[in-house]
Amino acid sequence: MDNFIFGQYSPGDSFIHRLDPRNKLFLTILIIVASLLIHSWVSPLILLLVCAFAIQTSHVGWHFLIHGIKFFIHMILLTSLLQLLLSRSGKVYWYFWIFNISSFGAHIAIMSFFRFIIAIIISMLFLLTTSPIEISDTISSLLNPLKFIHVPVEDISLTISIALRFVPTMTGEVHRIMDAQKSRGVQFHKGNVIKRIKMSIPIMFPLFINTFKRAEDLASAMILRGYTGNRYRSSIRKMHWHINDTIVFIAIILIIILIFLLIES
Amino acid sequence: MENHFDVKQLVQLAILAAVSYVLMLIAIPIIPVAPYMKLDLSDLPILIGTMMMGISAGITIATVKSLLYWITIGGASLPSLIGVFSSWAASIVLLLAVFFVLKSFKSHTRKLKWIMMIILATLALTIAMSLLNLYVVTPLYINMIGLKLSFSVPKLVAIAVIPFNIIKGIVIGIIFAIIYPQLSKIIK
Repeated sequence: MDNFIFGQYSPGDSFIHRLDPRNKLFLTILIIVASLLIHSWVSPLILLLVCAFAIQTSHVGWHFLIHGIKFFIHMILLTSLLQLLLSRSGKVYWYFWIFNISSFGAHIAIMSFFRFIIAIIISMLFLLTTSPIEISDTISSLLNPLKFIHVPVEDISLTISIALRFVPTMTGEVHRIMDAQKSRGVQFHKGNVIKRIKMSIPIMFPLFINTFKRAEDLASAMILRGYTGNRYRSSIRKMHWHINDTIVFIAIILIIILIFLLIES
Repeated sequence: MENHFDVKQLVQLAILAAVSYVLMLIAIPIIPVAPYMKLDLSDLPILIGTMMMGISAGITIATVKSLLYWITIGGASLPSLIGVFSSWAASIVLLLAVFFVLKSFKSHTRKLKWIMMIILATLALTIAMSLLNLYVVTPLYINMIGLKLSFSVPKLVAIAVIPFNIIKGIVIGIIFAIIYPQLSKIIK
């Protein structure tokens, strides 16, 4: 029960897992932006090859990844099909009633299919190989420049980390309260809407009381250990930029520059 | 922005955000034509935090919750950002409406104050979300993911967005009105 929420993260120790999360996030965004700017049919194939290489080295498994994006693929196929059949300009090859296949429609459909596939595969890969806590660390390191305009970055990252840590705990709490009320005879899945709303009150009330109890405990523990906010604090998790990061960074940037210089121009 | 929060309040904010996130996962679709509009109780922790620690606390909880949801469930992608943004905006409108109504109607009797809160918050939520859907959210969906609607945007607002937000406002308002007076006596 504790890991079903973050089911997207697949723990591992592959080359991709060990890359700096900041680097991964930057390159993910870069590839998505590049995939939106391309117009040739060859460039998406190169980007897909890069994705395939990344999936292979990440050891998350093709089956696992494809299972995760199956829903998106259905949606994208449907959208592309509609674009293929409904847009009419350029040379028309075939038509029936309001549907037609034109050269322009085919081009748009194929390009939008590739763009979304690339964006989804690469962001899925980022989420599969980066733990939520690493993502939150990355976000707080991105917020670091805001320190100069007196935004309490440490407080924000502390709030995000505690919230992330307590999500599984509070999920368990909700289930425990529901079980306790069920054993006293409350039936949650019966009755009309008004009855169901009424039934949420015996869950919400203990939930919020326990929430504040836990907050009190944690805050006392932190104060007793001498925690004071808004000061430079060391972290148990350090993000390191290795030589591998530099290699991957330069390689991806070179590929994208080459795509734009050789194929797109 | 939140320099005035001490350690205890920061921890309360964080755990309320976690509760809000968990409640967001238990969502039920209530409008048949728009299954992506789901009713959940994730605004309750936000409202409780707002009434206990002020508007900036409420905004912080809503932001942390939306961020967590976007990273973990939304897949940190652009299309899901639109949905997360509109739910964040709804939370902000709701918390502002509830906060100002409850703070400004001090002289009235207790029951009247809570009924006014439910009505005004529902009204504010419905108006704000209709405008947002009419001019920002639905056009963004159509342009970005090529969402094909079987009817026009104003019609979608009329048959899905308005009923949804009226139901949402009333349900959350009633539960909040029942829980909060009792809860505030127990937790000082």
